[in-house]
Order: sequence, then structure tokens, then C-alpha cells
Amino acid sequence: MDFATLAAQLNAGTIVPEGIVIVTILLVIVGDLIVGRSVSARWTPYLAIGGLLLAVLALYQRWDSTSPISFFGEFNADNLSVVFRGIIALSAAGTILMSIRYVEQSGTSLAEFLTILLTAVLGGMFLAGSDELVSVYVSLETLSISSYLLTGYTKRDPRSNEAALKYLLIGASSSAIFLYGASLLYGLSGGETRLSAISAGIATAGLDQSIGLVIALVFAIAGIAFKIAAVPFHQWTPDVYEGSPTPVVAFLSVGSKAAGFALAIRLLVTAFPLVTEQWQFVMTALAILSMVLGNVVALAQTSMKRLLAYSSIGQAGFIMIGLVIGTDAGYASMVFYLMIYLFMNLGAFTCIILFTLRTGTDQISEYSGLYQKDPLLTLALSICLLSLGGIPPLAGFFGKLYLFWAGWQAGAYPLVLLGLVTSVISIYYYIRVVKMMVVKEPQEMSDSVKNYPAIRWDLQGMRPLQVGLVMTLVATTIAGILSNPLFTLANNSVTQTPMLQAAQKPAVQVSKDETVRLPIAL
Amino acid sequence: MQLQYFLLIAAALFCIGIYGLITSRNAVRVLMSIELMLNAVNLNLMAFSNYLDADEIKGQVFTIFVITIAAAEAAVGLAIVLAIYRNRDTVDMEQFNLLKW
Amino acid sequence: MEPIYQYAWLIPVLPLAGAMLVGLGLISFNKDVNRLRKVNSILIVSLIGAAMTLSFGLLWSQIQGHAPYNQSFEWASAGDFHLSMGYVIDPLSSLMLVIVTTVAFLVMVYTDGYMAHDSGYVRFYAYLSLFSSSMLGLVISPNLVQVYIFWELVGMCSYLLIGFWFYRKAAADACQKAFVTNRVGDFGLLLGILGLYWSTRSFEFDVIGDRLQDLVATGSMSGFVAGLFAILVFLGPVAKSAQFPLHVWLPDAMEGPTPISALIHAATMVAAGVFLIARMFPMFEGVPASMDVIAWTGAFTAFLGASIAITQNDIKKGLAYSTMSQLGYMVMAMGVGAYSAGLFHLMTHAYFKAMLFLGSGSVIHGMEEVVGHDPVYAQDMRMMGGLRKYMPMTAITFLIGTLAISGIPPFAGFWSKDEILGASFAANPVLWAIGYLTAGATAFYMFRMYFSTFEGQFRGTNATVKQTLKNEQLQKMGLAFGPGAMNPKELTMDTAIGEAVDPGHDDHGHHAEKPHESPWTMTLPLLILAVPSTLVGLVGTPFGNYFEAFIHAPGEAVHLAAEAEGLSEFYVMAGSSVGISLIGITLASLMYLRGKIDPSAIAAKIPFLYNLSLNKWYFDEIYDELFVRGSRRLARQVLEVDSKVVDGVVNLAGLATLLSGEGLKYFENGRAQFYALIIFVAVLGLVIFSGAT
Repeated sequence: MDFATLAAQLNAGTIVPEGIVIVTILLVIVGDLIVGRSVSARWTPYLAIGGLLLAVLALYQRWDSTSPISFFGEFNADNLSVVFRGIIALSAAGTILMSIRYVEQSGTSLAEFLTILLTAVLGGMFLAGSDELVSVYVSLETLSISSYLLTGYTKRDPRSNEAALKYLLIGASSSAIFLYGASLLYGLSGGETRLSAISAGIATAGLDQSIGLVIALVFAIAGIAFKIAAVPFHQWTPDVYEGSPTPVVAFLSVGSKAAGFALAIRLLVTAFPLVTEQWQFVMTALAILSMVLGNVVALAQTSMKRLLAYSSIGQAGFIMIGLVIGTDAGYASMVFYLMIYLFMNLGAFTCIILFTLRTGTDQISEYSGLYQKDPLLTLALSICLLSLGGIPPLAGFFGKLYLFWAGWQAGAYPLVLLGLVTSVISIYYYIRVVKMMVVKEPQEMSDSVKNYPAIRWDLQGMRPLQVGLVMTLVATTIAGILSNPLFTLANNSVTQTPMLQAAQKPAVQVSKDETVRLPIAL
Repeated sequence: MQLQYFLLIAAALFCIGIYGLITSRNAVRVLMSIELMLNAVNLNLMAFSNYLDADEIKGQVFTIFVITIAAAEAAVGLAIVLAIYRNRDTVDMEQFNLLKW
Repeated sequence: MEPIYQYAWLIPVLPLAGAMLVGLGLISFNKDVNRLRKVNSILIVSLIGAAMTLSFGLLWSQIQGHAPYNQSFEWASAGDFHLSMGYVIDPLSSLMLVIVTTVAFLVMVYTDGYMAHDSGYVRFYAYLSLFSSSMLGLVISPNLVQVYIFWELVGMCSYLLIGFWFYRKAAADACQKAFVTNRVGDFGLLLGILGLYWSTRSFEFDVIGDRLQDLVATGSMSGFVAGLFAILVFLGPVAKSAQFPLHVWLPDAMEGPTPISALIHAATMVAAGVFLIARMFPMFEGVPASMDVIAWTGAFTAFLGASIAITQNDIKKGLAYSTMSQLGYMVMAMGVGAYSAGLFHLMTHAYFKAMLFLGSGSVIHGMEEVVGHDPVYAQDMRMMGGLRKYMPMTAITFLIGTLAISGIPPFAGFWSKDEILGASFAANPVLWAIGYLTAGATAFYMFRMYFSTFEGQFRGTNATVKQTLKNEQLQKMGLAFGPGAMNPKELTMDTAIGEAVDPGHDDHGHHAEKPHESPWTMTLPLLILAVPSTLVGLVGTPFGNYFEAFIHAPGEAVHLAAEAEGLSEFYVMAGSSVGISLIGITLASLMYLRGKIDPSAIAAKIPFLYNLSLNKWYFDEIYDELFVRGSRRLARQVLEVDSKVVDGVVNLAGLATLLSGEGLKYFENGRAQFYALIIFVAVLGLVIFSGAT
């Protein structure tokens, strides 16, 4: 058979965005090979960004597609996956903007960095749409292995090495556990690997109440929880975030996490509908632990990157509230929050990179008095941190509001209350940084700020950094007030995804109280 | 030979892999333990495929993929260990706690 | 006649517009507006004149028998809660409109003369107009909520007006005292309103009355609770109409300029309490216990007021206590069920008391020419005397007022007071006895005032008297030499004692030797008011009680003609009350006109009673110790709790969180295999836990 019919049979049109990313990777590699390192560093990042934006455009065209299922059920390009793939691609684009100068300054090859980053993006994008165990595992591993490489990218720095090693070890063990769980699913369902067919297979085999299914569920959750950095599977996050090069941290905290959440939704809703109560219970426990531990330990941090690591653990806890409640509003609020989180976090990391580039340090105490020397950086970092804390009228407030409102509506009162309390705790450590930057008197300036270099934007790579900074700042500020487009996008992605709708309707009909009662058993 | 035996062996190997992962002082041994765990899963998949999915043998296909990925992972892992060794002159797991608290 | 009813809302709105215009002018263009004195006063007076004309029209229409007119619109609604605002024109409200507008009009004319040399002339007119508008709004309110709104408004206007000369410490203290005391009463009123709404689901006067009775009758609400609500509502009038125990503000309110003492604290605002009792009459009637409380409160207040008035030396304070006493009569009347009698006395009292106060203002105005602007001298009756020669018109009108209040026929006060005494005799002879004795005391102290002020020798230039007064004042100041007292250095003999000099008041510089009659703007209102003081009583005689026919309690049938048996009772009653009044007058003339009996000798014989009366039964001191100091002590203790306990808990929560953060962070000990161990243990734990459930 010829290529055209094959492509039509496979419905390969759904992976055109990923195809664009693959082409970009190839171009970057080959281009770098041909022109050499110093020359390629000038145009490869823009090519990569261009490719990513083109992919986003292709995704936009795939919105509301009539035939989302492709590759014999391996890939599902429904609206939910489109949104998540868009988030991952945009996070990578933002990361590239901030990494140009950083990688240059670290003396390593930018093109290779971009290649690995784009591969990670590829893995993440495939993961968001994978509907079958094999493709899930392969995309997950693609994403993870690329992330290990990215983490250890600055080879000369022992901290980066150590971070990479830890990430690899923990990541490998969790993916092994996940794989074991996947194999159990394969066995329990009587030989099915497609997620949609698994639950049917298990039901026909009569094994829906067996311990094997529970073990498979827990093992799968372990793998997912590693990716989204939920407590107690979070231990790698602070060390990896602290040791990795900062642009990598930005990507990990947004893109990798978004991919993890995409996997979580798809896997848990499609493959485990028979044990919905169990997984909701487990995820609730994880959410509570994450919210509490993430926010409380963040209070004691002195390193900015580590602080943001714990904060991202806490934020994952909040997002899990949306996952746990299982209503349309819950999923929509998750998507909405991830979109906003993208801007806030990328903005914060851009500011941190800028500060590190100029002063070489990451300690929070070194930020004091920054307002005197660099008002733009202070403004941007303050806005992003305040948005993370959930202060109106910034975007983060609306994201949290939607999450908590969805939770309250679904009856998850203890979760929402805990979320509110830990939000308050989180505001403390965000504002502490802002206070340090803004309020300190000139004589209380830290040494780094005293010796702050003159602000120059004309070095190579600084312009993209500035562009990224301003764009994320603007987005964070107005995405809350003008949040309607994002809101509708999030809502449509959920309401027009048949998988989620199918999952909800039986739950609603079977026992309305069950969906409402939920983890209130706590 | 019943299915359970294979599953038992796979589980045992998995646990041995876990034990090795947690207690080895040598980083390379840890990587080996990871490989062991992945192979245990392979066994699982093969067993299921043989007994439950004999026509489409999806499990065996899965296994091939897992082997490939495990190899890639091992390669990356060794590269990282090598980079660490070049910097720190040791592969003792106990020495790697620069990043803590 | 419909158009006049449709525009009835203009009556309170016109003065309000005037007040706002002048007020805004004062805020924005202070100096210019202050210069245009006459323009402002003419504007305000014309507006109230228009309101007055409209009120007369409405009253005439109501007398002709027009049905009560009700107009309201829905102001707020939420679910089945509806709040409506509007106005009602029925006999009671139309009468009140006329009373308020006429007295207000005359007082405003009077003010032009009285405040002619005051720097706050324009501000005073603005406040006067604001007050008139609030009071007019109060009397046409159709439901309790609107009454409450205007109730508070008049309270606020009273505060502004009492404290008009706010740079004087005494005035500032007085207005604060008035406001706080009224607040206590208003709080009770609010609780009562809320309680009634909660039980009867309505704010309308008659609906509340019916439903409350039903509730008590069916037993769904205990009589105790109904009584409680009634008493709470009554607390409002207790404060507003200066009944015991919330009467303490009225004498101090005399710190305000005399025109407002006349308008507010004699004729209108203090009558608002009685007005509210009248409006809520259906409810009170249904709770007999509350009627008893009302009656006895009124009786006691009447007695209290009279007992203190007999020893007062300040002419305005004397009139204030007399007002208190007369209000007690009105409240007592309402309490025994004599609805029309109480309102009749309200009407007559408004006119003659306003005239008496305006007269006293005229006297003070004249005295200030001689002794300076210090109220210690200008208002003390010991420095007056023989003023009839110098101020004949003031004297004759004052005499008319005194006769009216003493209950001498055919002046107005006689008919109304007598009706009250008759009704209270029928209800409870003890109440009658208290009222009877008080009537005698009233005659006594009123004529004491008249004789001391207008007869005898003029003592304004007598240095000995002046010295006595000064010594007394210094003694009073001496009592105040504690923390928070005045700086003794300010206490010089040249500046007025206890008073900062009015910055804007132009000093006449010279003092006259003799007082002279006040300008026509002041005497004309006096003369005009003398007419109703004399004649208005005739509408309510037992021979043909037109008043009762016009205004009677809802649900009561009235006959116009007098009954034969009723008339003989009337003659007995009338005779005895006139008798005791004459006794009082004779006693007063003996002591103060002829000098045959020496007042100080009597005072020396009963020092305890004399001091009790002179010091207003020590109520101010008791309240100060109990409430003022008591609440300060309580506040200090609460502060302790707040700062130690509440703040402590909050701070502890923050500290605990920080400490737990510091503690938990050590879980990340940096060893990768430990992390892996945690993961496996967690997985195992979750499997066991999920498998078990």
C-alpha cells in the first residue's frame, strides 16, 4: 500500500504538530553540524522557537477535530490533549527564550541543548495524547530521559551532575514501578493495551474488585505522582531544581508537570473507572500531603530555586484538587490553572535567571534592596510571585479561585479549606521575597546588589530574555482580568472531550451522591 | 507451568532489584538494579502475553520496546555516572549529598 | 384635593433642599455664603413657609373628613422581604405637620434677631432647616423603618445644634451626652423593631398590633416576650422624650442656642417620642403590662422634673425640667390609654413651651447687654428681676405662657392637663395623685420663675450677687481640678469662666446699664405664639371635644357631644386642679414677690431634700460612676484579653507553621537511595491501605 492510504488509515494528520517538532529537531541538529557551534548559536534558538510556534498553530487547527483517534487507537488527539500539548510547547518556547544567554554563559553548546529540549517536548506532547500502554511508556521515557540529560547538562558543575544522578535514579525506579503496574493492567485485562479497552477487559474477566487491580492502580499512581512531584514522591524535586541549570528547571516545573497531569487525567479516567473511588481517595491523600508539606517546608528555604521547587510541590497539590473532584469544572479548572501557571512560573524563572546572570547567586537574602538597582526585574519578579501566591487582580488569583470554587461546588470542603489555609501560608514566603526586594533601605542592600552591574540588554541572548520577561509579565497581569478567553478554552477542552464526558455521565447517573460525597470520608 | 510461577519469579526479581537499588553503595550497581527491575517487568509482560494474549502477542511487542528504552536509560545513566566520576572522583552513593535540606 | 396629597412629599423635601443648598455653599464658598446672611435666612424661611402653607392645606383637608392618604414605593426587596418608603397623611400626621412647621417658622424668624451677632448665623439656619426636614419626614413616615431612619436623623441634628458653639467645652460635652443617651434609647428601639418584625413579619403599625395580639392570644409567643418587645420599643421614646432614666441629656442640652431649645427641646423633637407611642398605640394596647410601665414612667418623670425645677436658678434649666415634667404628663396619658389627651397636651405644650423658651431667649438677649456673654451671669435668675419695666412684650407673653402651663383656665394648658388628670384618675388614683401634686409644683416653680425674672428690683448690676455666682462657679470648677480638668492658667477673671471666647462674636465692648426690649423679629413670634397658647385649648374642651373627634386612637368610636355625668366629674376635677395651682401661685408670690417667706430658710431646714433637688437627684454622678467609668474599666479588661489571648493564638499559629517548616525540611537529607526507599515504602503503604478498604 502506498504512503497516502497508509497515512489516511493511520489518521496521521493528528500528529502533524509533533511532526513539525521532529522536523525542527532535525534541522537544528543538521544545521549545527554543518555550520559549527558558534554560528549556529545565533539562529538555532529562533528556529526552534519558530518551529514550536508553528506546532502550536498546527494544534490550533486541530481543535475540535472530528476524528481524534489515530494509529489504531494509540493516539487520541481530542481537545484535552490539544490544550496540554499547547501548554507544553509554549513552555518550551518560553524556556528557550530564557536559556540562550544562560547556556552561552555556561560555555556549553546551545544547539545540543535545544535538541534535547525539543526531544523532551516531543515526548511530552506524545504523552499528552497517548491512549495506549506502549505509547504511554515510550513517550514517558522519552520525556524523562531527555529531562535527565537536560538536568545534567552543565557537566562541569558537580551539583548539576548530582542532580542528574538523583533524577535518573528516582525517575528510573518510578518508571519501573509504573511499568510493572502497566504490565499488571495488561494481564488483568486479558491482553489489552489500549486504555479504553483495558477497563472493559477487566470487567469481563470479573477482576474488578481484585487486589491486582488495586496494586496496578497504586503502581501507576506512583509513576504519575513522580512526574507531578506529589508528596511522598517528591523528594527529587528540591534537589533537582536546585542543581539543574535554571532554564531546565523552568521547563521541568511547567512542561514536564503539565505532561504529568495530562497522563494522570487520561490514565486514571480511561483505564481505572472501576476503581474511581480508590484513586480519588489516594489522590486526595497525595493532594493534602503536597499542599501541606510543599508550603510549610518552603517557609524554611534560603535558596530561590529550592523555594520555587517546594512551591511547585504545593501548587501541584492545589491542581490535584481539580483532578480529584472529577467534575467538568474540576478538570476545566485544572487546565485553566496550568495555563496561568505557565506564565507565572516562566516569568519567575526568567527573573531568577536574569538575577543569576547578573550577580551569580541564588540566595534569597541576596535579593535585598534590588528595587534600587533594577526596578524592572523587581517589578516582574514581584508580580509573578504575587500571582503565584494568589493575590488579586493577578492571574494566579483567578486560577485558584476557579479551582477552589470547583472544589467547593463538588462538595470537597475539607480539601478546599486546607487549600485556602496553605495558600495563606504560601503568601508568606512569596511576599518575603518581594519585601526583601522592595522594602529594604539602601544601607541594607546585599553585597550582590551593591555590586550590581550596569544593565545591558545588548549582549547576545539578553534581548530574548527581555522579550520573555515582558511577555510573561504582561500575561500574568492581564490573564486574570481578561481571563475569559482562557476560561472558555479550558471549559471547551473539557466539555468537548468525549472521554471525560463519558466518564462523568455514568458516575452521575449511578449514584449522584457518590460523586458529591467523595473524599469527605476523611 | 502455570502463569503464577512466572509472575512470582518476576515479582521476586523486582523486589531484588528494589533491594539492590536501595542498598548499593556503588552507583553502577544501582544502575544494574534498575535494569533488573525492568527485566522483571519484561518477564511479567512475556508471561501475560503467552498465556492471555497468544494471538496478538502485544506483550512481546511491549517487551521489545521496554528493552530498547532500558538500554537508552542505561546509556544515559552511565553517561551521568561518568560525568560525576570526572568531577568528584568517586562513585560512592554516600558521597553525593551536596544538595540537601 | 388630590394634588395637595400628591405633593405632600414636598413638605420635608423643601427644607432639606434649602439645607443642602446652604450647606454645600458653606463647604465650597464659605466666606461668600457667610456674607450673604439675609439672603440665606430669607431663603430658608420661605421654604419652611411654603411647607407650612402646604401643611395647613393638608390639615384643613383632613379636618374636612378626607380619608387618610397613603403613598409608598418599594425601596428594597430580597425574596419575601419587602421594605417600602413613602408617606402617610392622616389626622395625626397632618396635625403634627402643622405644629412642626408653625413652630419652626416662628423660631426661624426669631433666630434672625437672636443670632444676629453670631458668626455661625448661616450655619445655624442650615442646621435648623435640616432639622425641620428630618422632623417633618418623621411625622409622615408610614412604617417603623422609616420612622427609625428619621428618628436617627433628628438625633443627629439635635447633636449638631446642641453643640453649635462647639468650641465651648460645656456645649461639646452636652451634645455628646445627648447623642450617647439617645443612642441607648435608639438601640432599644432598634431591637424592639427587629423583634417585632421577627415575630409579626411586618413594619406597619396596625399590622404589628393585630398580629402581636394574635400571637399572644394563641400562645405561640409568650406574653413576656411581647412585653419585652414593647418595652424595647418604648425605650426609644424614653430617650427622645427625656423620660426617666434617660432624661439626663435634656438639661445639658440647654447649652445650645435658645431658638433650638425652643424648637427641638420643647416643641418638636422631644414630642417625637410621644408621637411614636401614639403611632404604636395599637401594639401597646395589646400588651397591658407595657401600658403600665409607660404610665408609671411618665408619672415618675413628671414628678422628678417638677421636684428639680423648684430649686433651679438658671432660667433655661428651669424650663428644661419643666419640659421634662410635661412630657411625663403626655407619656402618662398615653400609658393610661388617654390617646387624645396625650396628643392634645402635646399640641398645647408645643405652643406655650416654645413661647416660654423664646421669651427666655429674649430675656437672656437683654441680660447679655448688661452682664456680658457669659451664660453663668446672663441666664441666672438671681441676676434678673424687674424686667417687666424694660421688656414689656416679653413679660406679658411670658406671663401668658406661665398661666397656660400652670393650668389656669381658659388658657390652653388647663384643658389638656385636666383631661389627662381625669383620665389618670379613672385608671389609677395614685397616678392621679402624683399628677395632681406635680401640677401644684408646676404652678409654683413657673411663677417663681416669672416673679424672679420680671418682678421686683433689677439685680443685674448688683455686685454682691455677681460675686456669689462667681464663687459658686469657681467651686464647681474646683471640683473639676482633677485629671482632665482645665488648665488653671486659663482661669482668669477677665475671660468668661469655663468658656473660650467665641472667635466670631463681636464684642459690644461696652456694657449697658439697663436691659431693653428685643427687636421685632424676636418679639413678633412671641406675640404670634401667644394666640394659640391662649386659644388652642378651646378645641378640646369637654363641652365639645373637636380634638378628640379629629384625633382618636385607632379603633375607638368617639362622640362629639359631652355627656352629662362626664361634665360633673369634669367640674370636680377642674376645680381641684385649679385650686392646687392657685395654692402654688400664692406660695410663689409669697416667697418671691412679696418676700414674706424666705426661701433660703426653708432650704436650710431640709438640706437633704434641697441638695437632692439642686443636684438633680445625683443622677449624673451615678451614671458617671456606673456607666462611664464602668465601661472604661470593662474596655481595659477586654483589651487585655484581645492582645494576650487573641493575638497570642494568631502569633502561635504562625510560629508553629514556621517551626514545622524548619523541622520537616530535614527529610530531604540529600541521599538518593533514601528517596527511593521512601517511594517504595509509600507504594507499599498505599497498596495495603487501599487493599484493606
